[in-house]
Amino acid sequence: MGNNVLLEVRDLSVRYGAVQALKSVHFDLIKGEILCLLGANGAGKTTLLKTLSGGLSPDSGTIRLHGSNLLALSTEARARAGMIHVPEGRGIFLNLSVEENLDLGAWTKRYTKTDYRAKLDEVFELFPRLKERLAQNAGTLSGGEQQMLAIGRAWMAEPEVLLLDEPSLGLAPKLIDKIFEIISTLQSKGATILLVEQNAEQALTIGNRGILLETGLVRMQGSAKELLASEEMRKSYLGLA
Amino acid sequence: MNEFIQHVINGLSLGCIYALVAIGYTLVFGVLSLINFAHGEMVMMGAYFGMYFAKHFKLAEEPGISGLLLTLVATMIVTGCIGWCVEKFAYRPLKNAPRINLLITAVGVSLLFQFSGQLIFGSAPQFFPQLVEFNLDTWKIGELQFNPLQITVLGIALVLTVVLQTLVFKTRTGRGMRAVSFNRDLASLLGIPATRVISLTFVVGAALAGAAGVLVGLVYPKIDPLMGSLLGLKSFVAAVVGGIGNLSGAVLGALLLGLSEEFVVGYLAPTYRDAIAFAFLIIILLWRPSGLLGVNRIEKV
Repeated sequence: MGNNVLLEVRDLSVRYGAVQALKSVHFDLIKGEILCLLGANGAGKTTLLKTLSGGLSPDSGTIRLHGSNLLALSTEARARAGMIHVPEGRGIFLNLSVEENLDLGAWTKRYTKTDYRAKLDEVFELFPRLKERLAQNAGTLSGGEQQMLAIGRAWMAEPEVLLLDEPSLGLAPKLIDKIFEIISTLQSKGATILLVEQNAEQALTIGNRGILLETGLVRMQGSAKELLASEEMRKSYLGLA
Repeated sequence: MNEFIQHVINGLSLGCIYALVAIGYTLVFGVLSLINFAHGEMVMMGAYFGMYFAKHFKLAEEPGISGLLLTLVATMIVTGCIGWCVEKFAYRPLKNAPRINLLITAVGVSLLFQFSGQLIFGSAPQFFPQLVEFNLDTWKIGELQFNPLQITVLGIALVLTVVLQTLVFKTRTGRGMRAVSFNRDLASLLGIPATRVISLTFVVGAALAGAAGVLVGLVYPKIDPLMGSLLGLKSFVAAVVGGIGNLSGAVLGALLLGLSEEFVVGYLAPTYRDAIAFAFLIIILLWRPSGLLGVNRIEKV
């Protein structure tokens, strides 16, 4: 693995007042993989993503991207370094058009006109629907379309690490399949993804490895196959006996 | 009919001045959810700086558009810098404090400017130099007489408003402003430097207020250190009537306020100018509580 480690998280502890939300979380994210972050509500998944992207500061621990310390950087600087976070509940600018949302995704990039066009075409290839809705206000999109816009906008930034928080939340089953399919496609285009999901089984099907968080602790860590096969996982999180 | 059109032009030129100030309220409210009570004082600072600038370079001796534009640009630069300082030293340190602290600070900054203004400029009113030729005979179309001063004010305010709209709706910076105004944290996640965008918003708002100060000085040449408070209040009301946070709303509200004041003066009772104009605005707010173009803000999750 050595050289392929993109993101290195060591002994990360985060506290919300009296609550210890993350306890010595420790993992590597390897270039090109999909790492699934699993666990029940309140296990600390979203807290971990927020800490990685800069919304929360940890009490202790280190986060390194390409070997350089991220903790000293502001949220904006982390985005410039390629840490792109698609927050829970999509987080799109409902007051702006689809086009303007996508354009803001490229904020850190300063593309030339041609490169910008090419990147936009790539997003349209992934989400043809967005092309039809380009001039529309993002607030008029359906939930699924908003999720597509959020992922498409993140893709405009050419992320080094893509943090996806519950992309399937609140979507119809057919759309969920579609979103997982897209996430796989992104991986085949070279993306490195940290995927937070409630939908553990489906996540592990497309993911390479998984981490199971339980009340802020890493309870289990391993390949997707191992986790899918593990007795404990099957009982508590996959709903299979 | 002739008289009516005169009133319309007067009302519009007054409304345009309110609009320049109202835009500042609405922009800052957009990015910080703060009613910047010190904004009216920027108008006063603009009027005083413009006066000293024009006097120093003796621009009133040869009235003309170039002297006016020079004064305008210099004033906008200076008030823009003041706006930058206010944000940097008064509001930015409070960025994690409860909103009420910001509001109280805004009131404090406003008082600071009013009273240091009295200290520095003296509390007696002073006269703003006449930078535009004031010859009623020069501008005539048929029966209609145009006051060149009013047309100049109207023209300058219009140009500034259009420039601002272009900045906000057509440029990268403007997109950044609108993103921050929707959700600052979300904007940061995309790498948009929210702090710098907020700072820039203050600079733009204050520069427009400074321009308004010069225009007020031209139309109502008697200026004093407390002039900003009523003007600021009226422009704030205009922004609220239009729907605070909405740029076109601010302009619309300001024009309505200017026109209603002018019509009250022209056709009803000049003494009750402010009372009647405000009553009219209250009626609009009763009919549309979130302002003419305002929408109920979506609750942030």
